Amino acid sequence: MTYRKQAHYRLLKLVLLTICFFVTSAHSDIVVVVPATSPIKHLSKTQVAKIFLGKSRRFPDGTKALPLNQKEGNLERDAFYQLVSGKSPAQIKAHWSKLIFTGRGQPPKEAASNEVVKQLLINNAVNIGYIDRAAVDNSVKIVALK
Amino acid sequence: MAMGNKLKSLALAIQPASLAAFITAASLSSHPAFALDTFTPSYSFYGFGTLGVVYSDEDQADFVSSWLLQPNGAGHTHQWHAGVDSKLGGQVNVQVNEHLSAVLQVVVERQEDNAWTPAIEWANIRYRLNDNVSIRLGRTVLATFMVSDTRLVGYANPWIRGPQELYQIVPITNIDGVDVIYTRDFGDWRNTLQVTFGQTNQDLITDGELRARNSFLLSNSLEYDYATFRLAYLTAHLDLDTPESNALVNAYNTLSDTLALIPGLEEAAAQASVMPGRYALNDAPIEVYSAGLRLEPENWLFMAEWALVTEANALSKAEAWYTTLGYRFTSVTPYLTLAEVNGDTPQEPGVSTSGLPPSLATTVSTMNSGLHQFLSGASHAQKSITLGIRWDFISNAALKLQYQHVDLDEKSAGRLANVQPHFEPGNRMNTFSAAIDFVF
Repeated sequence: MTYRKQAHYRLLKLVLLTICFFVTSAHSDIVVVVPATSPIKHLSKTQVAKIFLGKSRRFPDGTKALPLNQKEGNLERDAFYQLVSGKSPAQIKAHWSKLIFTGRGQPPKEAASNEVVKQLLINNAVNIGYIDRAAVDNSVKIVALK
Repeated sequence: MAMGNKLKSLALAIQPASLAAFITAASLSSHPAFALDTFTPSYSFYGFGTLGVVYSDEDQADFVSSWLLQPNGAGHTHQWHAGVDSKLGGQVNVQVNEHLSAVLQVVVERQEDNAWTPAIEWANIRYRLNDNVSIRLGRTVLATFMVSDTRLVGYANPWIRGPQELYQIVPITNIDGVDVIYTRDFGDWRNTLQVTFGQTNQDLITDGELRARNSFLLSNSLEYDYATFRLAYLTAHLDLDTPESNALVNAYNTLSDTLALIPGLEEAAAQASVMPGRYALNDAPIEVYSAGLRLEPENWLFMAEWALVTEANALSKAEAWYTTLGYRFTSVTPYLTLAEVNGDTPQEPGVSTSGLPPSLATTVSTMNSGLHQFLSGASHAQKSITLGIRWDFISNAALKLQYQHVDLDEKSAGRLANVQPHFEPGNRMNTFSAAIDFVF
């Protein structure tokens, strides 16, 4: 009996987790974040895309932008580029191949997860990143996208 | 079991507090190209390559990807050839500090002597003066056309190879010299002006050498959102030494000397004496004008380029264009390309045989037809339609399949190489290519 109960519980947990997964991946609410202390309040999607695609080295106020990517294959990464540039993962990869192999630039450093993004923003190792809205806490600030 | 225990003790050893630091450190070290505020030299390595085969149904000439580099290819030599598009490239980037960086790119592809010898494609140092201006010194790309930059990196291009009608007008890909890039933003517009100056020495098939000296390239790209418009102007002085061209020059010089000794043939002697100067490529100035447009709205891809190359002695004036239309369905992109190159064939009657003794007349007319062949060979004309599909099947590789139907010109062998005596101009030809392009 106990075993069956446990099995039911496990199954329920799995179903719930699966639903959660699909809900989050379907909506994957991505936000652009900066350190809580950053003066940046809002940026346009184009400005963010330019910073992450190596087309712009600075924020509109002239300070240097140090973007942090998420790892290839992370849902956040694909959703982020779709959001700011409308480009697919393959297009982003092709874009960077172009820049790398023409010696015109190197892609931003990559972080493994939302947690690492926040960690590196707090450390001031980088100054702009993107995470799932659910991972936002008071260590980072959401940038309003115009 | 032992493994499980080790993992357990590892998990115990890493306390939650140090876990974040550990992850952070691990994520930082996974990529070598992380310089940020610490400006110690950082190195990063990138690679690219293509594994491809080409089939051609023309058995009296070879389909090649570069008439300058490849002595043979698909068609006559082998119906299926794996050495037309295949290549492997490695690149090391060194970031010394915020301003100074260097790049070395080595590419292994089939060379003019049929050997897969690694060659230095790029080796330059770059100094970034500020956000707008950077200077490169050393061996850099000769960016004559819109995607010259990534000509060798198949993964970065929509097709297996740039449309040859246009891209093979200037088959030289790099230059030793200096270039200055000036980028400026005007609101959402970005303008990039590039000036390159230098020279190139390129070994040719058939023991020849091509030198482009005092090359000067000026290009300007204007980008706005999904659109890029580019104009370029290239000028260079060409020296071409091939056994063929040297033999022709010597033959006409000898002929001129011989005719000059025979009374009454001064006119023919004069005709013969101007031939070497007219057609030898010796410090011959050449100019290339080009324009390109690239549009990528949403999932569409539209590209078009046009180029005009002026006459340079034996090399005829030529005009080329292509246009590509593609559409991305998630990971699959079908595309269609139309392309054409039209080289003027010089109307060169050669040395008049009238009044020559019969034996000499035969020799002269043989020479004249040799000259005509040489000039026709240097003038390419063909048009083609290409249907292709690109499939991005994994994140760093793409499979491409391409069918090309070529209408060859009636006077030349188009972009074909290793042309056999029984080759008939004016034919149609079909090629099929398959390639996997990858980056790492």
